Amino acid sequence: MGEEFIVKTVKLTKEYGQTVALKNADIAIRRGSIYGLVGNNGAGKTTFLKILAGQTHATGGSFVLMGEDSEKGYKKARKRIGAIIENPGFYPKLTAKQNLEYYRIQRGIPGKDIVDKMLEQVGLSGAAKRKFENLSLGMKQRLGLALALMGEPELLVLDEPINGLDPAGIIEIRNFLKKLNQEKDVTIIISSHILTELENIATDYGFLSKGELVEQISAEELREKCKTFLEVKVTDAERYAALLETELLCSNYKVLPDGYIHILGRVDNISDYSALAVKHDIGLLSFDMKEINLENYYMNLVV
Amino acid sequence: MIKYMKSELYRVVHSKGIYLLAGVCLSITLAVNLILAYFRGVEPSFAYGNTAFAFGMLGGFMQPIFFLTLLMGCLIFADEYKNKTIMNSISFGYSRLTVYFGKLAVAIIVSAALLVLVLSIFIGSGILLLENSGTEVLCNLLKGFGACIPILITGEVAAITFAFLIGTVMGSTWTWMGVFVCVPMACELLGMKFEIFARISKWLAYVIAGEGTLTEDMGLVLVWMSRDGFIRCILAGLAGIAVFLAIGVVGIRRKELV
Repeated sequence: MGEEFIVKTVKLTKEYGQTVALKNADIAIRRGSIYGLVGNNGAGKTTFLKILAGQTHATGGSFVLMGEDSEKGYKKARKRIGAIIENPGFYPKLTAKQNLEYYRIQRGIPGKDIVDKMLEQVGLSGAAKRKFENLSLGMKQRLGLALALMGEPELLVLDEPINGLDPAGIIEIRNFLKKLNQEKDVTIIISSHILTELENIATDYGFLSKGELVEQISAEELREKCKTFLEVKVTDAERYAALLETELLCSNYKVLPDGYIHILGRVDNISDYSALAVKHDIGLLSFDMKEINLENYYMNLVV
Repeated sequence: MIKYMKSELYRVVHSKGIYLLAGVCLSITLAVNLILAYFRGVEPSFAYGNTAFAFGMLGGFMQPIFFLTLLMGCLIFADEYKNKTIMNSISFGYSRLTVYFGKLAVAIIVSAALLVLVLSIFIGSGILLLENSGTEVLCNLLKGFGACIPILITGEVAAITFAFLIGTVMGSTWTWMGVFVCVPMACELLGMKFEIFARISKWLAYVIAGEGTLTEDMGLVLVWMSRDGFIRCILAGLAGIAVFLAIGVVGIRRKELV
């Protein structure tokens, strides 16, 4: 207890045969934060979470989990972790309540009432006696959350927790997680493809691409960085980019696929940028001031 | 591990599978006694309406009982990989070995309970419904099960080990069948030509479970009835347990959960 980082990795690497799923990742997650893990498919998000949860072994590097840095220590630490990684796993023929009771016994959590309490917290009281195999995807996800939350964990590891939830469910779970973080100081590591959803909840971000940690940034820093940018779509992006550097002395830009260029940072004379294209006979297909959101920021980082 | 075992027992008690298995075993054994009692009632000279025949028959029925260990293994393994339930246990701090040994222990406990239940009802109903042939036949039956317990445990350890290493019920079932049925059969066949295979096959669980000879008066002489045979049963069982446990411990330690 008391250490600043609840998770700290040093050159963490995981290889599956020839495939590198995670490469030399130095990830530091502050205690009490909501850490949004951003990355496309195959970026290494789930691999990282699986290593934390003990579901797979790292092939290189090391990590400290809740102050523990040995296999024995990790096992001890994991008793204070709630995790849902990929689809929540339950016995299909047992009911929702029986499944939770099974894990309550396994984790040695006292008091049978906790199962009903957890089901109520995630809005599944009405489905307590339904077999897991008969629950909808959203209900299964909620049951997974109930399992992760049971036993008041200090760290929640949630891999795509809002998959299959309806909009009202997403808001409900988001508010619930925020409350848990603020009131009970639970650290949450959350990965999601729905980046707008992460924007609503995360206090820190880790951006992964092709197994590498591209950037780690706090939400506050990100807000500072993500003000506005100019999005230009031209017929010849390469040439336009070269002209940006030589004529407008602008180097803070990103060339994206399909002829898009994002000009980042302060843009004073917008008209100069359109004039540049016109002057050099480059077709200007679109020209727009945009506000950077998490999605744009991520795209700018990894492309 | 105790907590893990408790949770597994909770799951088994709340699953239909174990009741179905118990129901089938009880129905078959009870039916045997009821049928024998019926024929004894309608035909007073019926020679098999006694506990000697009924108990001897169950004692000679060890091979089918051996297959039940595969069923029990599958029941306890409960498709952990497909259901992804093992991942939860690992995430909560249980090691793969704890899960493996926990499952093994529960399989043995549940099987022992089932065996005691089925045997009690079979013996009780036999004594009540059939002509009592004395305590010697009962002792022989109990001795037979006592001798075969290590072999039955071998079957269970192997079933759970294969399930953990292969990951699917189908895959592990075929592997189990291959190891415990096909290999012994092949050994027996080769044993007709090469002495070494005949010697090996005498130590294989499936062969031991099915080894018996009929006497002239239709009595069955089973392997554990002799001192040497009894020791062979125990040793073969213990060796089997050791081999499959070693395979399990080495294999599961580095098993990737996918």
